[in-house]
Order: sequence, then C-alpha cells, then structure tokens
Amino acid sequence: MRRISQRDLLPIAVKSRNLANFNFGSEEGSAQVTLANTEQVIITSSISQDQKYEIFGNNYIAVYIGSIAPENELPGGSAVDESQWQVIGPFFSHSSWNSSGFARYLEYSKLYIRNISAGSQLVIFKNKWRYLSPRESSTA
Amino acid sequence: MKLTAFLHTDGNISVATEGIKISRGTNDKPEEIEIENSIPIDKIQIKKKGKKLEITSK
Repeated sequence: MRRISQRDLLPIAVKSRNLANFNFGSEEGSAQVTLANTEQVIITSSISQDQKYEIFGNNYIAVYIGSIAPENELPGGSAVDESQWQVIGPFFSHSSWNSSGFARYLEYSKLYIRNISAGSQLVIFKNKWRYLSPRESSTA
Repeated sequence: MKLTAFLHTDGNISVATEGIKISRGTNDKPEEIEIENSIPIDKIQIKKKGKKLEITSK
C-alpha cells in the first residue's frame, strides 16, 4: 500500500482528535511538616484509577523551606543551603489493588527528606498530578 | 478543601491535602484526622490542645 505523503490530502475518514479530551489535571495538593535537625519525613502522593478506565499519571512535585517562594525552593533556591538537607527521591511506582477482573492501579510518588543541620524548619510540599485517561479520575 | 492532620508517634503534627500521606519514619504510626479548612496550607497553623486540634491562620 502506498504511504500518504505529507503533501497529499488526508482521506476524509481521518479526523483530528483532540488530546485535551484525555488529558486531566488533579487539584494542586500540598503538605507541611516541621523538621528539626536530624528529623525526617516521607511524603507519599498517589492517584488511583477509576473503575473500568486505564490511567497514565505524571506527578509534579516541589519542596519549599519556610514559605512558598522561588528563593526557598529545595533544591536551587538562593536562600537554601542544600548541604543542610538529605533528599532521596522522588521515586515513582504503582501498586495493583485489584488483581482479578480489571486490574486497577494506584500510582504513587515517594520523597524522603531529612534535615541534617538547618535548624527547626517548616517544609512545604506542592504537588499535582497530570494524567491521561478516558475519564476524569480522583486522588486517593 | 479537605485536609488531613497527621498526629505522629513522636508528638509532632503535620498536615496535607487529600491524596498525600506523611510519615516521619518507619516506627511512625500517625493518627489521621480529617479536617475542613479553607486556609492555604502555607498559612495554616495547627496545635494540639489536650485531645483537640486548634487550627489558626498565621
């Protein structure tokens, strides 16, 4: 079969499909925790499938020290000394929570933060999921 | 906005919106308390007063 050239007119049966119909965003989530020296925290953010519908999620996550401002972002903020913090992650994975019938998944991110020597600090997390799915899903 | 307060085993309190869980280590078994609040999370202040939580804006 001859391939369609970029200069050819598309057959009328081929219609454009708008990806916006499948691309959703969760509400912006956030969390706050106070960490003194040597204290640690593990933040888990998750999104789950609605029944019957597949989902493909992508997690956005940011960490701020003290208050939400560009200079307070960890890492990279001008007011942040990264040597005072230990960060592991974020890691992304999934767990199946219905192995029979339609396999359902909970997608999650995990982030570990330990305050080495920054003194008592408020640590703020901002979080949002973008996901592809035939239907709008929900955080879990 | 629905918030969850986490009362940690070590006595600390942290707070998160729906879909986020917080742990302060492997021995931590936080008690999760759902609270309704419209204060932005970076402005919220939660203290434990006896068995009740006191929620104020900074």
